Amino acid sequence: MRGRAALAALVALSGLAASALVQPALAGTADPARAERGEYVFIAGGCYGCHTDEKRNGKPLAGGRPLATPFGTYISPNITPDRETGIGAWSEAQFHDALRRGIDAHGANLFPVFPYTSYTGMSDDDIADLFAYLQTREPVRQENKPHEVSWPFNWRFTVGLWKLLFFKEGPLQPDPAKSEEWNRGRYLVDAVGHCGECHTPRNFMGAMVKDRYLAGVRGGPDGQNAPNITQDKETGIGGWTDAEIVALLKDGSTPDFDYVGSGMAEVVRNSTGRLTDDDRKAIVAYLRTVPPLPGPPKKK
Amino acid sequence: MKIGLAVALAAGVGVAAWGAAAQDKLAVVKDRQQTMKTLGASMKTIKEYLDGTAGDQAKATESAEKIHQIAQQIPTKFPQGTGMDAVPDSGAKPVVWSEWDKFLGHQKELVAESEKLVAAAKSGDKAKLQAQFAATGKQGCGGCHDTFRQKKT
Repeated sequence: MRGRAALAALVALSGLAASALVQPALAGTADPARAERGEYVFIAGGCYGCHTDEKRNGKPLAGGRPLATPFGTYISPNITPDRETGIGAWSEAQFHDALRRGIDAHGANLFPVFPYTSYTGMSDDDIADLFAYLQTREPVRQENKPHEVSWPFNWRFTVGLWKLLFFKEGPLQPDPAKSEEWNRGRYLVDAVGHCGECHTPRNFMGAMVKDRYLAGVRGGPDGQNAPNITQDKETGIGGWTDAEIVALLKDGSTPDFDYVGSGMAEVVRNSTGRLTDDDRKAIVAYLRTVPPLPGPPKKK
Repeated sequence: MKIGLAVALAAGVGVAAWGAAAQDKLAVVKDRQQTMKTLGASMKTIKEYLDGTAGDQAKATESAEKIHQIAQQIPTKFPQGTGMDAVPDSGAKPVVWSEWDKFLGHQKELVAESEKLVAAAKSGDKAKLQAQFAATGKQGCGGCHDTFRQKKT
């Protein structure tokens, strides 16, 4: 009898030890160097904007921000390191899967409103750094709210089919024929910065239309318009100088000193305005090589 | 017969009044857009002075004063019923009126920032003006456009 109790205790203990082994990093224990680099990845990725309900004074990164799409309204989740309601119990591998493969900690498909279609292009290092940084944020206990999306778009199984059709997984491979600056710009635009998620129109199934890459969208996320940012001289930014594009990314001013709104002011505030000048220039170097396309037809 | 005439007259007057109102609304929108263009042009003048490509301190100060003056007039430029839901040419979202206090909060921010802009321009300190120029654009102009303006692409 006693022997059994001792055995049970031993089993329980070894179970604890085993679970301790697979424990993810706790808040505050993240590698400081990684966390520091991760802050910049966080800025370039614009994570704060969607995961913070600024309009209702929500706590940073606690989610709850609604994002209206043609498929319904998605509510962003809590990405603070709270273990119960945030991602504090996630391992780095699980976080990596979310960004690279669009799969959550329970193995379920994430809705592509979370732009893993772009984040998949990020490097392993950047994803690990970002994870380390998020682990250092203040944990907020706030339950996620269900999405307000109707069938079949609320069905995670359909996302699996969608991924088969439209999702290409894997880090962006640098083009050795192009300059380092151009490759950095492409990485910022296509992977981390996920510019195309708003500036490239989508088909009826919500996938980006490749041959309309960055050509502008009428009625994008939250019903906002996203202008053509291809090199088209009439409707795009082909007629802008490098300095003018850099100025827009830095402080939101257009060449005629209009100031961007419609979501981009938020992007400038949280992301592009806080990048290094070199990175803003890299974005310009890449955008210069985007094929010119005419913008969306004017609404009458 | 008389009643019919009265109805017809009333209807006619009604249509005329509606037409006039619609035209007035369009005029309000056009005037508002012109005002915003003037704001942009004034910002540009200051930028040219900062870059050393044109203008001088006096011109920059004059432009800053213009921005400060327009900032105070903004509430009168947004009468009810002149949003993009009523006038297709407009880029003013209905939220301007449904969240009027918040809108006024942004307007007051532009008033405050542009007042500092005038002071910075008068000081002759270009670095100070550069910093205040960026703050005015980001917080004063962009802060409001972010929520309240729908740009026509």
